[in-house]
Amino acid sequence: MTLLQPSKKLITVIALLLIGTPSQGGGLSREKENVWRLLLHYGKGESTIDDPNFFLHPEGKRKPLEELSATVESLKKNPELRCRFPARAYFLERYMGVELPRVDCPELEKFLSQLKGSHLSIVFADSHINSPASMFGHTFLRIYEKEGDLYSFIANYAAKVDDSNALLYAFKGLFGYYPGVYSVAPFYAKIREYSGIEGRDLWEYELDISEENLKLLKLHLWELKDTYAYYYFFHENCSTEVFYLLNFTEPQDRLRLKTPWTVPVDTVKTLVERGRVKKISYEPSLLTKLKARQKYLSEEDIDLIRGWVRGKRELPKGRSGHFYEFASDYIRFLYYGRSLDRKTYRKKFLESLRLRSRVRERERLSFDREPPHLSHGSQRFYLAYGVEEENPFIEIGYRPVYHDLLDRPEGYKKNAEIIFSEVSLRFFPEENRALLNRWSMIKITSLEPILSFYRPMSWKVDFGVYRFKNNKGKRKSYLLLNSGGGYTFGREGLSLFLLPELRLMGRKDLVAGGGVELGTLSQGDRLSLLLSVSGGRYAHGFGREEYLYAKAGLGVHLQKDMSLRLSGLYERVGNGESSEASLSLLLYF
Amino acid sequence: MKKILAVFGGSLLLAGASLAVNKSNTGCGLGYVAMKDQEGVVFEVLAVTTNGTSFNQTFGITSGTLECEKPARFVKNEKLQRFVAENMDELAQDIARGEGRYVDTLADLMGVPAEKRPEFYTKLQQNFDRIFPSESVSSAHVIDTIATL
Repeated sequence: MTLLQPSKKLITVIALLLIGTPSQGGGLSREKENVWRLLLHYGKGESTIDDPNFFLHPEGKRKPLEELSATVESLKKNPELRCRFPARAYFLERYMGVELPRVDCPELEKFLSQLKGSHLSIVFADSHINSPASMFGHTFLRIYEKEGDLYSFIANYAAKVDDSNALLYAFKGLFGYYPGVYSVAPFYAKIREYSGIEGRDLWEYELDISEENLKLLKLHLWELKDTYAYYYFFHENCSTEVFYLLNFTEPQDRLRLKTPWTVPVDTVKTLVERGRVKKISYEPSLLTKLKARQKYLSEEDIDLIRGWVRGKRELPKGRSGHFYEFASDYIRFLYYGRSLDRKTYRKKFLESLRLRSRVRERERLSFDREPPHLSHGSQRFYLAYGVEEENPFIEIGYRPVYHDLLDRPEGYKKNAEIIFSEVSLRFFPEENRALLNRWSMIKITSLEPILSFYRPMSWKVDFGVYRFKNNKGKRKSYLLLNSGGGYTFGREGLSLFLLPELRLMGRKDLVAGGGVELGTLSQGDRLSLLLSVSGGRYAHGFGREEYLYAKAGLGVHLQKDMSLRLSGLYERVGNGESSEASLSLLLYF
Repeated sequence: MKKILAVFGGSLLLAGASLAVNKSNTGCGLGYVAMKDQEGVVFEVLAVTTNGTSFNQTFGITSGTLECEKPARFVKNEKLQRFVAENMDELAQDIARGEGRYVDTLADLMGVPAEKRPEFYTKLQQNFDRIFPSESVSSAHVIDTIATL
């Protein structure tokens, strides 16, 4: 059903409403409808809220007008209810002219006194690739009076996740097995959680909002306390729900996302495009600050600090501010990473700070990360022309999310890729034949270079349908699971990686093998280059032959949303070999 | 069907919430976020950010550090007490460097006027050893020492 065209039913309901109230309303205008629907989280035919207690009418989830009359009736009959639904009461009084009995709501008053402030922003927390729960980043809202006020409050929507197993998480997340709940917390607690413990940078986008609309939003947040909506990883996630709340900035101009699958970065992009953003600020994570300070320190300095942490030497006196700041942040970093017990932590932490307090110089750090809204579109389409062995082909491919190693890196986490459900079809015009070339269901690679003070694992998971040559020289489609873990050396932008890997393939029979992948990656805003060779042996199937897969890719980034790519592939299993090369035009949107 | 699932899910949640341990004693000193094991981290983070994992406490607007020792000064300033108790480590870093948002927020909560702040920050930095005399320093001691500077 649609609310936008006033139906007979709607008019009857309004008439009913007006009979019960002495004031004149004159009908539910478009403006009022929009606000009412907003308060109910009413979207495509129903509310996204799944909690039955959120509705006062049994059909309220699907019927906003019935919910409206039920709300008026209930608030009149039971005045205490306005402490549970203050935004609805505010709406009825302010927009509809309905007179409702007044009661005191001390808990609500306390909540509002904490949530004071006239500014609203949306905070984007960068992805943290080694944790599946945060692959695409996260967004939450912040309400504040002064920009630097850490004791301002944030509103968050998140799934209550109880699995750390990535596959289980993905499955349950995709199909709505987690309930999503709204929460409110002090900003400093979120800074510690994201930028301290999880090593995620934060970007804050300040938005325009009138005082009255912000008041309605605050009252509405209270209504969301204790309610839940099932969390769907791609279409009812943290971002869509937070994005939804941003409609309170301008209830008359509904914000819409263009993508079928919503990732957090799309929401900030949409806001920037719509001109709703007043200001952007950046909050580097603890890890980012450590990396920035490392530039001012020598390798000996870092060795010294590491030796001091292990209790092998004293922390020297009379060094620079950077030196002691690095030491104290490094101690916190280790503590958050559970590498230090609390006692050692407290002692070392204070020791470094005592020395820091004797240095009067001010520390200035610079960071060169680009804000996420400058990144290429998260959907991708490409058209390619190439040659497979001797046969020319045309290929098209579509990827709903998100970013691969050879896409333009600006705004994304460097040395990392996440691909969900990319499909490519290949046509051979000379043979008049078409086939599914590839279906990358999930492909995730993290190649974070090791540092002298931090050694993250690099890893990859690739699960999908791919075409491979078997040991008899025939090219067939297989279901592939390829996974590996190792280390990356160098730095972001130019690195060398080494990943021991396992390969499992299935068609009629299972094929299994193992080896190692060696590669180099260079990412730039104009050119990106990836060369890699995987070599090993099949232990089961494919005649237990040795294998070699060599790949080369060069990305030429013409614009933010347009790239060219040259790709080459050579594969050999036993005596069967094949090769292909192609040139593609990639468009992001 | 969806409704049945919703009710089922909701009741599961409530059951989970009632079983959740009320872990309010996350500490009043340095290293507020105690790390015992992986689950511990998640749990403590939840304890800080949502003031407990129990379902009816997702709106963390009251302090989880009410049982901490009370300062002699600023007794009525609950926000200040909570802020210091829950941000001891970050505050210590800002005091040692003589600037930053943690000391800015501290100055806001203590009502230090803008023109006196540079002097206030310098004093904080110079008196770091008095404000944080040992590893077992409490937030009450930090507040009381700052109040007498």
